[in-house]
Amino acid sequence: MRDCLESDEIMTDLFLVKWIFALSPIAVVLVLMIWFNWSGGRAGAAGWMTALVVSVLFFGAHPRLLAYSQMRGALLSLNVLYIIWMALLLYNVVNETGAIAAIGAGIQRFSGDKTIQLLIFGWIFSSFLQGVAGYGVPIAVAAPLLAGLGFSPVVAVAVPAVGHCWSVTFGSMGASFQAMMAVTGLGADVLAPWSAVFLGLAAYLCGLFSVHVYGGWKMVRHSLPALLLVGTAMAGVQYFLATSGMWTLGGFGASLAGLIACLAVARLKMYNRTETPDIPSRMGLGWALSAYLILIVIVSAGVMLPALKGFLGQVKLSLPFPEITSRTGWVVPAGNDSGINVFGHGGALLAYASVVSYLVYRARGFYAPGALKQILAKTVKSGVPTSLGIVSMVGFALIMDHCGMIYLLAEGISRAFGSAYPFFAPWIGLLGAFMTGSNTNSNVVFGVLQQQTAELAGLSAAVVLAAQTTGGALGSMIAPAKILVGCSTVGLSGREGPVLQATLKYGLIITAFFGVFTMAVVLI
Amino acid sequence: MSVKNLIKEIQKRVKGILLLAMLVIPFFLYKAAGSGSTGAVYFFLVLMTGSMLAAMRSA
Repeated sequence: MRDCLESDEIMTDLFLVKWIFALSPIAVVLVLMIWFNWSGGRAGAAGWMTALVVSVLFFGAHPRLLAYSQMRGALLSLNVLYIIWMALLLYNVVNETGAIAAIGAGIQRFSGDKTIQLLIFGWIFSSFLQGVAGYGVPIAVAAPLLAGLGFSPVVAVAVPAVGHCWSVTFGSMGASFQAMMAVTGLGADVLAPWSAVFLGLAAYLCGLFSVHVYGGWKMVRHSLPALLLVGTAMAGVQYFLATSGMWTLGGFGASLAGLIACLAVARLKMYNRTETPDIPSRMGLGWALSAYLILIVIVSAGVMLPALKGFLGQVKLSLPFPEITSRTGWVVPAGNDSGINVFGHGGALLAYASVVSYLVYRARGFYAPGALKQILAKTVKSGVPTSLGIVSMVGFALIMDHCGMIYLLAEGISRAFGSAYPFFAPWIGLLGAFMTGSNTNSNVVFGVLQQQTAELAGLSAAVVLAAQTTGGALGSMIAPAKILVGCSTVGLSGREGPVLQATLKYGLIITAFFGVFTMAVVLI
Repeated sequence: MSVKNLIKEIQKRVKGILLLAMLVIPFFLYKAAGSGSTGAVYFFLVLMTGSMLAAMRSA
């Protein structure tokens, strides 16, 4: 008996040591970015080196496993970079005309209240963009708009990073929710109600904390009526769409409802302060926003029209991967990667919007001579450092995934906390999204683990999976891959640390709230 | 172009070169792993590690 106990203790100690080693690449990236102010590219490369060493020494990685993990990483990176580069291109196409300044001036004319401006761009418009595009586009587009309105670059990135998260699961036409259904085998009728409740609550909290980023509790008090009215419109519409079989439109429809509600709220006496714009503009608001209207039309058509979607989706680049087993016995099943839909990809839709917008602006004479060269040069200048960070981070996340390190981290959390496990369910989702920059990937990696752990503990899988996907959605605000995108559009490339410091705080607070909420729901 | 100018030009473009390397090397790794060439896999892993080390210094 004593031998048995000692053996259990040794096993526990070994597990803890391995768990700490599995955590080390993430810890290295966080410490270097937050305390040493390293850029995402440098910290990501350091994380990659750490993951390489730890995976070979303690998790049985071998050259073949590393080779396939890096190929999967490169394909995943290309999927993300396609969107990022095209989002940067669109931004520079718009910015080169002076449209960003014009939008700032136009919004100031519409409502001089800083809170309303902040909520429109940082909470509602960014959520709308998540609904139709996702993959970092909300931050990449909203951050420069907020900077153009006079918000500091750190606030301009942090606000949409916090504000858009609630719409991630049902955004991008419900890609993350679809992934969760696919891996767990549970239908929308089981998963949608609780997921919509969790994410509806997240809508209020994301709005509240996006205001707090800018002006603290004083500003939160001032914006409370707007937060409650717009939040209720968004949460309510999202719940209705998700539970009535239209979950693909959950994020899109909810944020559209939020936009309409906000236009009404802006007419309330307390917010209806008009100011003379202090930014001189040679362009009307309509023309300035035309590129984004073109984007909305193209993306909506590309995603919602089946004939067009089928036509654009004819060319897909994908590679087959064999089954790989690490020396410690962790198995990665054989299969194709998710592939790159060359002409129907979100990045392609952004590219079409960029080209059409450029042609429209050029026809209207908004460009100075040599503008195209400037647009391309600026896109490359901000795109390269951002891409370095993303490629290195996705690379080490895939090494960790292929060696079972991510699974071990989640298992450790669920083992260590026993009956308190529901509290940690959203944290596991958050971890997955932090590592991969994607709620979808987090649901794919941890969905089954959460489902099985919940069923073993006799808990509601629907509630625990709602916590998983909510944590995954909230992970968007702290995922370095997404922060890097936003920073690159407001001239903060290489100085992502202060933004991450701000969003990390809110990410942890909101996730803790959902941990407590999950505990309360499963206990009741 | 003098050697000094060439080095300056390379230094200016080092991030772009590193990014390209990080995206292209995995394709060679995939090909080498698929064909069972362990030596080639090691070679490209060393190249990938070198790219990451360079990124740690200059990105």
